[in-house]
Order: sequence, then structure tokens, then C-alpha cells
Amino acid sequence: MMREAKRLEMAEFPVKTLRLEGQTRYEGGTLELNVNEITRLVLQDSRIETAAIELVFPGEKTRIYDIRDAVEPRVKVSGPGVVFPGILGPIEPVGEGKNHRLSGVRVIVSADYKEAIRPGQQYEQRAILDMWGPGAGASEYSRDPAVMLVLRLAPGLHQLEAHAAVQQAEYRVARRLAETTVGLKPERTEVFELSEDIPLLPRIVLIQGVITFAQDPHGGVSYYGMPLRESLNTLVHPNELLDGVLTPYTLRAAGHWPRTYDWLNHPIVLQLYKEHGRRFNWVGVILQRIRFENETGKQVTARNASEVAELLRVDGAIVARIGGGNAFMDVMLTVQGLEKRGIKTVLVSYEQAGPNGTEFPFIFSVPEADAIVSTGNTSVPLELPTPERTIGASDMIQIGTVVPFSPRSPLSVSRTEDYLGGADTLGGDYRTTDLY
Amino acid sequence: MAQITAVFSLAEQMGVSRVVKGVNIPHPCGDPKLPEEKDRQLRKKIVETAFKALQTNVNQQAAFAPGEKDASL
Repeated sequence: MMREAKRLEMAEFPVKTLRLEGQTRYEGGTLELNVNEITRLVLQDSRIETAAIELVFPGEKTRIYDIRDAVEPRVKVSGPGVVFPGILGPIEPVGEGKNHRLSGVRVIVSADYKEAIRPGQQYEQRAILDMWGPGAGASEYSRDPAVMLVLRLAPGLHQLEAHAAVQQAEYRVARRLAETTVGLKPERTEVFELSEDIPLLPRIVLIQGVITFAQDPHGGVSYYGMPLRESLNTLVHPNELLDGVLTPYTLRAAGHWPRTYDWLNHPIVLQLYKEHGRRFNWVGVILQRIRFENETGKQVTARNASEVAELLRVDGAIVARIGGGNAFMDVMLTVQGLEKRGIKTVLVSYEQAGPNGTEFPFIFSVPEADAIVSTGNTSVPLELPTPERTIGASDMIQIGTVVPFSPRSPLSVSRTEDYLGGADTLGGDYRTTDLY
Repeated sequence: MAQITAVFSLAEQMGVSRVVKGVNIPHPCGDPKLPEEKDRQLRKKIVETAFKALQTNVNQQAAFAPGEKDASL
């Protein structure tokens, strides 16, 4: 007997008006939050000392800093498991049943935390976001209103404890907000299902490269709440991503590290679903841990990814990646491995091509990488004017190794390192590139 | 010129004439997982290989692996 394919219904409740008043509820496109209730929910965790709730809207001259993560309100209303298995509930197979999501609004968390010892290059990072001006043009996060959680953590927390506190706070608040739609009729419902192959259409796979730091307490990205380390390739059902099995290390929020929101709404995943069964048969996602520390590791992961793709009998592969130069070698070798096996491969990547965009954009390349989708050059610094309102957990902006400075000043920041959504890592934005 | 590196294919692409095989990107000249004395011996061997590479005439790119026969890339 054939087992039925995983089927996930996603019911969408758009938020058109957002207010801090009354009871926490959703009605006719209006989301209201009761500040006391939401604050109490966050303060149940003794690792959090104070919590403030604020709203931010596109176009207002507001700067947010100390950003750690952003998430979409989403809750499972039927089917096994929960959204964020292994974090908000047990590790059960997910990707089935029905979810409710609030669209057009995000929960963004700002938290002050400093590691007692800076462990090498794997230091904590905080991102900045402007809701107006040139900063708004650089990030999709500026285009929707957001509920801000501003947290002060208890002193002396280990970095994994601090991470867990931040993550639990934002995910619980996001779940609470999505729960306001339980029993209500959605504006629209999408169905996500890898239905049976349509004959004669090519088979394709998405290979998602994920940089992690094997030697760090938290590698950078978790799968079912477990930090990925020196793992080899893992085959993942795309519905698992829609249920939040991939989550970031919240304390390292840089422009090129996708936040929870990005994994939940992976743009390539959503687009592949739209075209599945029409232009091609999509077989799933290969999750590839990248950034091996020597030639052997890089060759092995590349070979293994190509082998898995070949076993899946795919005709084509889309390779997307998060990570910098070191990890990019693993990615290029994977492209090479796939092409050598006759699997047509497209790479999706942002460029680091210098302030004018004319420098060599990648540190490493292979001749087989002959189809590349560029998601834009992130080497151009962002020049940000002075804001009227600032929201952050600490008094000063602390980025990189720069001396802390006042949030109420004009700044020049790196899109890749310092700006939330500044690097279009997964290809969801609409930057264009000129050929030189 | 000789380069000690853990990522030979990158050195090859950069056109490095003498590539000396190192251990890992964070520690090309040794292996902190080894006992101290073994690590010291390995470090010495890698650096000696680099010296040997510098004294070798090469017409094309060549790789030098500590403890192995010399090989052309």
C-alpha cells in the first residue's frame, strides 16, 4: 500500500491594523495586544529580568538595534507535533495537519547580552534595522510592522542559556499571537504537498548549504532544536521547514544569517511548491552542513551531496547557501560534483564584490558553475541618517569590534554583518545585478 | 614562494607554485588534538617540508605533503 504524502494546510490571517490595547485578539484584520498579558508570558522565564513591548511601523523614523531574531506568528491547530518541534514541544514528525499564520507582521526581539569570554571569531552579533530611508530599501524587514520584544536578561547566563531565553520568549509570544485566530475563518489557505510525480517532467532537488561552527557551543543553526555540527547531508521534507525545524542561534544576528522568519518562509521553498507538478517534480531538500576545515571535509561533503542527489534520480539541482568564504568552497565543490554527474545545477548566492561591485565576487569558483543567480552585492556599506525614535535593549549600539556609539547618530554599516536582512541570503528580495 | 594551507584547491586556483599540505584552516601548521610531543613533531615536519619546497625547482604547480612523496597537482 502506498503511504499518503505529507499534506500541510497553511491558513493565512493578514494583519492590516496593529494596536497595543484591549485584550489580545484578532478580528477582521486587526491584531490587538494586551501588553500586561504578553509581558507576563515572557517574564515566566526567570532568565529574563525585564521585558517591554513596542510596535514599529514602516515609514516612521525609527531605528531598532540589539536585534537577535525575528519570527512570524504561526501555530499548529491540527495534526501531529507543534511548530518549532524540539523547542516548543516534543520531537514529533511534523509537516502535516493545519497551521495558522499571521501575515504582514513579525515579532522582532532585541536583547542585551555580552559573552563573558569572546570565543575566537564566533562572537555574539546584534543587528540594526531602520524603518525608513535608505535602510528601509535594504531590507524586507522594514516593509511590515512588527511587535518588538525588548529584553533584559539575568546577569551571568551562559551563552546557550541566554540564547534559549531569547528564543523561548519570542516563539512563545509569536505562538500566543497566532492563537488569537483559532476558530476563525482564514482569508486564504494554501496546501503544501509533494504530490506524486507527473510523468516526463524533470526531477529537481534544493540543496540548502548551511554554515555551522563545529567548535562553538551552538553551531549557528539547529535542526529540531539540535545544533548542527560536522554532519553530512540530511534529506528534509520541505514541510518540515514550514513547521520550523530549522532555527538560528539567536545571539548571532548578522545580515547574512537568516533569522527564524526566513527559514519559515524560505523563498525558494515557497516558489518550488508553486511550480511543483507544473514545470518539474520537486523531490525535497538536501540540508548540507558546510564549512569543513580542510580539503578532505570539503571534498567529502560535496561528494556526499552529489551522491544523495544522484540516488534521488534528479535531473537538476538548485544550490543555495548561507555562509562566507570558507563555506563557499564546499558549495562550489558541490556544484562541480553535481555537474560531473550530469545533474544540471544552478547556484543562488549573494556577491561580495567590493563597494563598486566590480571586484571578483567569490573567493573560489569552478568552471562547472555556469548558471548563477546573484541576489545582489552586499559589499556596499549602508549610510543611515539620524533617527527620531530608537528602540534597543541597551543604551548604545554595539556592533563588531567598533567602540559602542549612540543609536541617535548617523552611521555607516555593513549590510552583511550589521543589518537585519541586509544580505538576501535565500533569494527572496528583488535586487538586480549588472554584468561587467 | 611556498604556501602552507589546508585548502589546496583554493591555492591551486590562486596560482600558488608550491603548495604545502597543512592540517586545518584554523591551524595549518599543527594539530591541537594530538599530544603535545606528537604535535611538535608534526609542526616541525610541516615547516621542514615548506623549506624543502622552497629549495625545489618547479616548472608547474606542485604539492608537497609532509611525510609523502612529492606530487604534481
